[in-house]
Formats: sequence, C-alpha cells, structure tokens
Amino acid sequence: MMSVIKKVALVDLLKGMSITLKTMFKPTVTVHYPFEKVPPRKRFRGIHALKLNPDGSYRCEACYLCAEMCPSNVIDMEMTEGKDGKKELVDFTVDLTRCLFCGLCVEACPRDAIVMTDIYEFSQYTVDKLILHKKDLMELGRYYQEWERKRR
Amino acid sequence: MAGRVKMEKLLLRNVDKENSHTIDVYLKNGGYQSLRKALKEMSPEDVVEEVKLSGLRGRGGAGFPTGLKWEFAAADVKEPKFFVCNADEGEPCTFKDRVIFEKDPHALIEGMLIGAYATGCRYGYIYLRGEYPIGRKILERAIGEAYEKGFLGENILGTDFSFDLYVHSGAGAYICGEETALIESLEGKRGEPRIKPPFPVNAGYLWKPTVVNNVETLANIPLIIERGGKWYSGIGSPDCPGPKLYPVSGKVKRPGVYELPMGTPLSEIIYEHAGGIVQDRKLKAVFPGGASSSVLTADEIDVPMDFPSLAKAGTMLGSGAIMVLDETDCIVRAALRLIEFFRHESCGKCTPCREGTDWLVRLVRRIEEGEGSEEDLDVILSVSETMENSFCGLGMAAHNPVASSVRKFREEFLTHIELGRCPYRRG
Amino acid sequence: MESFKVVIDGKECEAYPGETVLEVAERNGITIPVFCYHRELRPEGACRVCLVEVEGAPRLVTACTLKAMPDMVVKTNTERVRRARAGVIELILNNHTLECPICDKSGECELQMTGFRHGPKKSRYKEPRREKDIVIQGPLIEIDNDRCILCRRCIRMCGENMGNRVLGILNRGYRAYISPFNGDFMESGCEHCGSCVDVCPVGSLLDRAFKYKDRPWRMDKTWTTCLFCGSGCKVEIDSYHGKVKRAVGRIGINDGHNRGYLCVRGKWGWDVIYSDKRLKEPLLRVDGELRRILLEEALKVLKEKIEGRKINLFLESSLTNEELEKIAAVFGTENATSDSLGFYNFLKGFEKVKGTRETDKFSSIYDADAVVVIGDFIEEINPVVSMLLRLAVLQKGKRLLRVGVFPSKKLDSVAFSKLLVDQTEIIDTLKHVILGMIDTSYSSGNRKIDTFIKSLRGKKVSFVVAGTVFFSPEAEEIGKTVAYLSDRVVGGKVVAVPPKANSLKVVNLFRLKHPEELDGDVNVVVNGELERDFPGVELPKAEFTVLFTPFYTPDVSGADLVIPVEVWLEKNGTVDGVDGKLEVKTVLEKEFSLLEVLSQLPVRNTGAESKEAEVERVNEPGQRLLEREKGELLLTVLSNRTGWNSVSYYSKNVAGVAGERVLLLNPEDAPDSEMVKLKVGNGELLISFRKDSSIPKGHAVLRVERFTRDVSEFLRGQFPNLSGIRCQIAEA
Repeated sequence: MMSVIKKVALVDLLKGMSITLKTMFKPTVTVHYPFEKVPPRKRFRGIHALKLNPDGSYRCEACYLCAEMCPSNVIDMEMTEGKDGKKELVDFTVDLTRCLFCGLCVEACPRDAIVMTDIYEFSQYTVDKLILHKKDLMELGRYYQEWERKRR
Repeated sequence: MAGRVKMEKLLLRNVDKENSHTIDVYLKNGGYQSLRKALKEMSPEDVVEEVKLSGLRGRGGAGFPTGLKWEFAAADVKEPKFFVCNADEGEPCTFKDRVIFEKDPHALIEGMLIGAYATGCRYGYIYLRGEYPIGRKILERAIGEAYEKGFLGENILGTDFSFDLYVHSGAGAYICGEETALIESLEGKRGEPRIKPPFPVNAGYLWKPTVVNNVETLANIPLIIERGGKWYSGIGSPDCPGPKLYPVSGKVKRPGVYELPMGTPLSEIIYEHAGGIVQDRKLKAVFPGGASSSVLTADEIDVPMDFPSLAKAGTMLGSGAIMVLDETDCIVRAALRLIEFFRHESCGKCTPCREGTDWLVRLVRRIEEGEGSEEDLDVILSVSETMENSFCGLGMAAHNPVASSVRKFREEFLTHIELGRCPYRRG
Repeated sequence: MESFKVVIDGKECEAYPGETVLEVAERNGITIPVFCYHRELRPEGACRVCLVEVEGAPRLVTACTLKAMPDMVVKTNTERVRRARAGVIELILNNHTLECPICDKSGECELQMTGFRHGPKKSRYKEPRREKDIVIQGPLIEIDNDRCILCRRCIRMCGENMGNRVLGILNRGYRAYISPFNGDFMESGCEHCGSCVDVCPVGSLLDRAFKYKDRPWRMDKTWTTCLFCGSGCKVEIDSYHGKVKRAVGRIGINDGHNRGYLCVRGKWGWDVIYSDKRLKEPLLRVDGELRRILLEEALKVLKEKIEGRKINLFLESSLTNEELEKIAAVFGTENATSDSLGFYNFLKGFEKVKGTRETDKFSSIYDADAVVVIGDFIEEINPVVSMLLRLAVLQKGKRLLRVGVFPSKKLDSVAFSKLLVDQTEIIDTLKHVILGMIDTSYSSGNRKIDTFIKSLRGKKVSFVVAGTVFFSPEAEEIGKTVAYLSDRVVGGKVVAVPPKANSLKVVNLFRLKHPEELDGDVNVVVNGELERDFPGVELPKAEFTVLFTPFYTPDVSGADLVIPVEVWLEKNGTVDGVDGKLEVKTVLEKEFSLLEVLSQLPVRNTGAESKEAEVERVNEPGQRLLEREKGELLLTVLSNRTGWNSVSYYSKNVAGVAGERVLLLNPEDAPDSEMVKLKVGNGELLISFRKDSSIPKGHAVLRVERFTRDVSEFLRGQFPNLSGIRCQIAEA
C-alpha cells in the first residue's frame, strides 16, 4: 500500500530532485575540456623541451646521461665536433610513443638542459610526428622559457 | 772527544792558503801522497777495507756507508764502471761542497782517484751544479793540471791504473742531486729519478756499475788513506765518525761553513762557533739538516749533530746545513718559502710530490695570508702523510718542514688563522 | 722455471722469478688499482696508486715495480693501504677537470672507475682548480692537457715500444705537460699509429676522428680483422645504429696476434666506407657511354658476356676466403694474375727447395731465440709486424738480426746485429750465412758477416721474410735461399709476411701468371685498381672488361661493365692471415655484395678439377740475378704507410697525414739540380728529390703516397717488381 502511495506521490523523484536543487546553486566543478582547460600543477610532467640559454642556444652537451637513465629508451641523440671545436648536438630525438613521463631524464641532466613542459596535449594523426627532433624540442624550449617567465 | 778544544782542520786544511786551488800549492802541502800510497802500497781491496774500517758515511744526505757502497761496486763484474762525484749542491742554505771544490779541488780529484782505484772504475764524472760557473772553471783547470802532472789519464804514476775525469754541468734542477736522477741527466735525459732497485752501483750510468759519492765524502778519502781508518774512526761520534762541514746560516752572528767533528751538539755550533743569535734575541727554531729536514724548537737543540742522534730526534742530518730562525721570524712564512722551493723543484714524475707540494703551497699560503681554517692544519698533516709514498727522496722529505712546523708550532698557525693576518708582518 | 709461493691478502699465489707482485695478484684475481702501469709497457712506478704493504718493509711499496720474492707476505687491502691509495687518488682528482659529460673517454675511463672504487668519498680541496689549458691538435690526435694525469703511458708507448720518441714532457713539477717535442705531430715524425690514444687511461689523448662523435658505452663492438695489409690485425670496430664511429685496438685486452697494436690505416682508415668516391650503382657502357643500370640487368649482361669465354682474372688480394673460392668456381683458376705475384714467386722458390709451400705462423717467432728479418721497409708495408718484431726484442728478449739494404728506424735500434748490404749482394750474403752455418770454421772474409754467423750458431732461429723482398726481381731466388738456409739451422721456422691481407689464399688457390701471359677474351678485375695493384700493367685487349670495385677508380673509364662491391668493414668471412685463419665480421648493412653477385653466376667445371702441376725440386740456394751497370741505380718504389691500399686516397682521416711523393737519393748520387729525370726502360719521370744519407749509395727510393697514372706508366713492364729496378738519373 505504502509503496503505491510512494509511487503516486513521486517521493523518489522529489528526493532525487532535491539533490539537484541543492547543487544547482553551488559553483560548477566540471570542466568542458576541449573548450575549457585546467591549468596544470606547478610540477606537472608534460612533454620534453630543450631548455635554452638567454641567447637562444641550447644547453645540452650531448652527454647521453638522460638517455642512459631512461627506463624505456625514449631518448637518442647524435653529436659531432662543431666548427668552434665545441661539442655540437646534431639531433636529439624523443620518442613520445614510448615515454612514460617519469622525469628521470630531467633528474639526470647535469646541465639542466632537458626539462618537462606543462603540455599534455600532443596527440597526432601519424606516429612519426610523435618523435620529437632537436628543432621541435628547441621550439618547445622557447615555449618553456615563456611559460617560466609567466610563472614567476 | 776533543770537546771544546779547537780542532785541527782536516777537510779545510788547504782552504786558507793562497792559490789553494792550484796543484803546486796542493803538492807542496803533501797532496797526492795518499794516491801514491794507495796505488803503490795498497791493493784495491785494502783501500775498500781501510774505508770500511774508518766508518765513513756518505755526506750527501742519506748517510750510506761509503766502504760498503764501494765493496758492492767492486764486486760487480760489468765493465766499464763509472765513478761519479755528486757536486749538484742545490739545497737552499747548503754551501759546504762549494768551499771544497773551489778552494781545494785537488783534494776532490785525489779522493775520486782513490775511489776509482778501489772500485775499478775507468771513467769519472763530476756532476756540477749548473749555478756554479766559477767552480766549473776551477775544476776544469785543476783537472788540466792533474793531467799535466800525470795524475789523470793512462797509467797513472806508472801503474796499470787509468782514469779519465770530466766535468758535467747540470742544467739547474735540484732533483739532479738525487743519484738516479743525476745519472739520467748525465745520460742526457730528463732529470728524473729511476726505479730502485737496480741500484746505481749495479746499473747506473748507461746501465753500468756506477759509484755516486758526494764531494765532501770524497774529500775525506785522502785523509783516511794518509792517516789510516783507525785514526779516522776516532774522530767525533763513534757511529758515524769523521770531520763534518756544517754550513750555518740564518739569524746567527757569524754565518759560514764550520768544520767540526761529527756529533758536535747543535747548541754548541750555534752559540759557540757561530757566535749566537743576532742582537742576542731568543732562538725560535732550527732546521738542522737543510731545507728538507724537520724543524727543531729551542728546547731541542742540545742534540748531537750526527745521523743516528738526529734521526732519534725526529729529523735528519741531511747535508748538515743549519738554518736558524729567531723570535722575530714567522715560522709559517719560513715553511711557505721552503715548500714553494720544493714545488718549483719537483720533477713531476710521481703524483704525491707533484700534486702534494702544490696543495701544501696553496694551503700554507692561505694560512699565511690569514684566510685559513683549523681544518686546514689536519689537511696539511694528511697530505704530508700521503707524500711519504713519493717516488724518491725529494717527495718523501719535501713535506717535512711544513708538517713538522704544524706539529711543533701549532699555536702560531692558529694565531694566523684567528688573527686573519700574519702577526710578524710589519707595516 | 721454478715457481714459488707468495702470500697476497692471505691467499697463497704461485709466482715465477722476475714477476712483479702486481702481475701475480692480477693472475690470481686480486685487483690492485693502477694508472701508470700497463701490461705492455715497462713499469714506471710514477702514479703511486698501486701501493701495497709488504711485511717487513717500513714503507708502502708500489706493486708494479716490486719483484715477487719467495715467502713474501703482501697485503693489498689494509686500512693503511686504503688510506694511502685514497690520498693519492685525491691528489689526482683535485685538479682534474670535471668534463666527464663531454669527455670522449667517459664510460671507459680508468680514472672514473678507480676513483669510484678506491678514491676518497669527499673532496677537501678548497682552492680554485689549477687549469692547464694546453691543447695540442694534430691532424688525427689531440692532446688535452687539462685532463692529463701525467701517468706517462703515452710517452713510454711512443718512445720505447714504438721507437718513435714523438711525445715527451715539457716543463716540470705541477706545470709539466705532454707534448710532441716541437709542439707539432707532423714535424716530430709521428707515424700516427694511435697507440698513445689507446693506452691513455683518461681522455687526454683523443682520436680526433672520434672526438665528440659518440659515447663509448652505447656503441656496438665488433671484433674483426683489418684487411689493409697482410699483418691481419685484430681490431674492434665501434658502431652505432649501423654507422662506424671508430676503430680501436685495445692494447692489453686484444687477444689477436697483434695484441692491440694498430697502424694509421687500421686505426683511422675505416672511413673509406664513407668515401665520396664510393660507387653506388652498377654502370654499363652503352654506345661508348657509361649508364646507370639495375643490378639485375648488370647480372644478365655479365652472364651473357662470360659464358663460354676464357677470362683474364685480375685479383686484388684483400678478398675473403669465401669470395675467393667463389671467384675460383665462377671464373676459373688457370688464367689469373694478382698483386701477390711476387709473393707467389717467393713461395714457388721456397717450394722448390722445401717441397712444401706451407710457411709458419707468426707466433712461431716467440719460440725461437733469434729472429732473422729479411727485407726492407717492413714498417711501411706491414707496420704492425715490424712493431711486433721490435717488441719481441724488448719484451721477450729475442735476438733480432737484420739482413737488408736500407736502414730501418724501428728495427735497427733494437737489432742485435744487422747486415746492410747492396741489393745485388743479398743472395750472396745469405749464401755466406749458409756456408757459415754448415762449416763452423768458415770465414767469409767480411768481419760483419762472420759476427752475424757467430751470433746465430747454436741458437734456435726463426726467419721473417717481409717487405720489399716480395717486390724484388729476385723473389723466387730469395725464396730458394731462405728455404735452403732454414734447413741448416736449429728450429728453422720461416714466416713469410704476406703483403696483402689474403695473399696466402690467393697463391694457394690460383695458378698465377704474369699479366702479359693472360690469353682470355674477357677481362675481369676484382676489387683491384690497375695502377695501384698492377703498376706498369695495361689491361690486355679483350672484347669486354668487367670491373668489380667499391670505388670510382680511374679504371672505371676503361671498363664496359662496373659492378659495385663492399669494402672490408662490410664483409663477413675469413682470411688466411700470417697467424692462421682470421675472422672478418661486420654489423653493417651493405647494398651490394660480391658474394651475392657471384652466387648468381654459373659455376664453371674446368677450374676446380685442374691440379697444381708438380714443381721440380732443386737442392741448392738461389742465384744472384740483379746486376747493375755503372751509373745505374737500383730503384725501390714504395707506397707510403698511409698510401698502402690507397687508404689515403679514399679515407679523409688518413689523407690529412699522407706523405708526399719524393725521391730519396744518397748525397753522393744526387745531382746538383733541384729536379731529376728518372729513367726506367722507356719510362721517364720528372721529380724533385731529397738528399738522404740513410739511403745507401747506388740505391734510390721513390716514395709515393699513391700510385698514379704517371708512376704506372713510368714503371711500364716492371710488374711485379717494385724494388731492385734498374734506373738512371739525369739532371733536369
């Protein structure tokens, strides 16, 4: 009997709607992701960048320590002797398809040359675009410089 | 012991005479009589026995028994053998050998001839310090005179014994006073010590048996032959008998070379012979055996100056050069100057000496400039401990002046550190 | 030798007289850290890291110089030893630059390893680092003195083992640094063997070709055999992702017969594979012009052209056994010539007396007491062999005796006795030695020869024949003489060092003819260059010329079909070297393979069946052939060390140190003019010369960095002779 009354009086519905009503006046939590973005935390580990000197040159000395540290063999590099007799980086590749963003490469770097940006959106249509080269990483480095300045 | 009675001059017997470097003066005073005696009346074995009996120990610094060295060389069968006189007197404040070969070169030549006869050497070299150009002239002239009179060359004094003597000037490296480095330098190579063994008496110059003796040692030889080893062993302390030249320098009234019997107490040398400290100040410290010996404080100067007694006192006789510091002298500065000398003279062959001297210089200089800390003193001691493992004597002894002054004058080092400047520096 | 017991760290170890404590410890698995000690070098005792405590000795002693004595008790791991060791390493590290991230040695650096294991845990050095900013750059070697720990391995290696004395120490004490004597590698006479780079424990001596190119630990290491000459050196090729980065010998670790020693070609010649003269596609002559074609088409043409024809085979002797066997099967063995023709002649003479063509392995010289070396310019043709001979004297105490014409910088300084005679008298001199060995009372009338004979008597003797002997017109006669002589001494091993990597296989597999005797219809040149390998030879007239070559050689212009092949670094296989069968390995990808090309060709059944004709036996030494008329000189044409196998032509690294073409004359033979005209038969060559008193009178040496067309034309008709060529000189 009681159940019939309950059904007729829409008690359950009202109960449910009361919660809706209650939260209706609270501020919204959900983020409409593609249109809205959450700023990442300060120590977020996004994709890599090659940090730059103030004059725009890369800091990396191609010591290969980051690649040695990497648990999943993400980093590879090629080096040579530059015209000025200094060590020169020919190519620096980061294979994002394998990266697990542990940040060990950043820890290992003796020159503070490789860093991780806050970028987490890097999906591509082809796999080969997920392999970052020196040029891309330096581009990211410029972004990182900008971001760091803003953060300060 | 003769004690405080004025001793008969033995090594310096000819020095005061006019033109003592010429052969005429030397011959007039009984020169080359010992050589005649050795060649005509004694066999080489007799000479070695006589020298062994005399108990003569090398005056170059290590104090190795000369007779024993000659016996080893004489026993080696390789030919030809070489007899080298080490006249590379490069240590600061050491100037005893210079007196001999500039004033009495024939005594040295006679000593070499007797030594060469005893050991069967055919050729001789005098390795002269590069900074002694006058000595070189005098020696070359003396050798020329000896050749003229027939004391050098083929069939000396009508016997089968032949000996040729050459003077070789060094290029100014202190390390070439080390016998193996001297031999390398003589061969025309870089002056660097060689691995021992084999010792030079078996494989020296051109890997042939080579006897290397100090100038002063050789100057003793004619005396021993002339008056007998027994007489010689009666002079001075019984363990290492003989007359010894003590060059005294520093803050004394009468610096100079003093010939005294072995074992004369250090205090006697300083206060009686050298006339005491200038302006009668208080004595502070003495380096009793050249730049590489450990320092002695004013309380310790009653020690007899001979090899075993000084070794017992924690230092060494070395060349016997006495450096005296008085109360106005800064021991840190003295140590700095000495270790700077060793840094400059280190050949760079072995790590402890090459790097250790440089580090010590930097540490001591920082303390002297008042920027040191107390831990630096411990570092000095531990570096000096590492330097003990050096290749040759230079590195093994180079840290001695610094380490011993840190041990004995720690307060003064601490004063430098606390004050932040050198308390003795005027102005 | 009787062994005795030594106690090291409580372990009883067996030691032999003359061994040092360090060697005993090393053999028994007890590690003592070292810097200045190296297995191949004389101990120096300079670094003081190998300190050990010996019971009864007041001081710590260096294990590397301490000879083991019976019942010696040594401790290597007490607190005192550890402290002294750490103290010394601390002193080294204090002023050592912290460049590990960019240093090329990092990862295989002995200072890193020893520092981690035995060094101090903490630095006490507060002073600013003492910089020694002295970098000396040579064309292939660079010295960075900031990283140097002054262990002096390089100096001992260069001066004592190599006999060059290029490197030395300048200044003294803490300012001492390593430098070539006048600051320049080329001027100080460096032969660029790279041994100093190899023994450097830190990154002070650098391989400039490898500088900043890669990290040592990440590369693939392949042990292979260098095919640039007949020494057959084992070498490690380091590559990363299929690209060769460097070649290293690893002196002291290498187990090949060369023990890690290399020469400029082995160490730096690897970049021939990246030469811009590499051939990329097959070429075919169509209407007088060479056109690019596909490999399949080329094969089709080739099959068509060689089918049923007799082939003139020109072989270069750096091919592997597998390739040579395939060539023999495809092209036949009867109508062939090779650059090993002189070596073949020598072995023919040898066989006539001995009955066998088998010579002994190189390592057999270590069993002998005395080694007689016959031949000149071994240090140019087989640099490592001359080095090993030198080391046999220095390290193993062998007695080295030389018979030759020209003085040798490397061997003469260690030779016990040397007979330098006129080239025409080589065989006569050897005959004197034979007579002296048979008859103990024999006197040749020449004191030098008599003392030479005396020093051989009763000794176990090995003969090493190498160098210019195989390029002499008397090769066969010397072969006979040496074989005859070797039967008359104790031991009597003969080592013939082949001039090229696989000369031995070539001479055993093929019946070599003189190029003029070839009578086929199709010319096939495999891996060779006519001017270089067959100087003075013109290709016989033929319907068709096929060229298998890795490079654009000058011959390409005369060929009808050119098929690219691989170079040695890209090969797998074996070669018959001076010390047995040697392995050639690679990790590299190759585009074209000689073996694959050949396997698609039909096999002939004629070549394989024909048997080697029996040689008639003789039992007498050879006869003197060389004569010289008045006014004539005997010319030796010598490809420089760097130019052998044209390495300097195809390798950029080696090109930087290649010598230049020059004629060396005895001052008495030299005319007054600056240039001379050299005449051989019909050939003429205008060339500048240098007076060199080390060249004996009546002889001349023409050094070329590469055999070019004019040299080849000048030597027309002389093949296979490059030595003992009669020539005249005239002022120009």
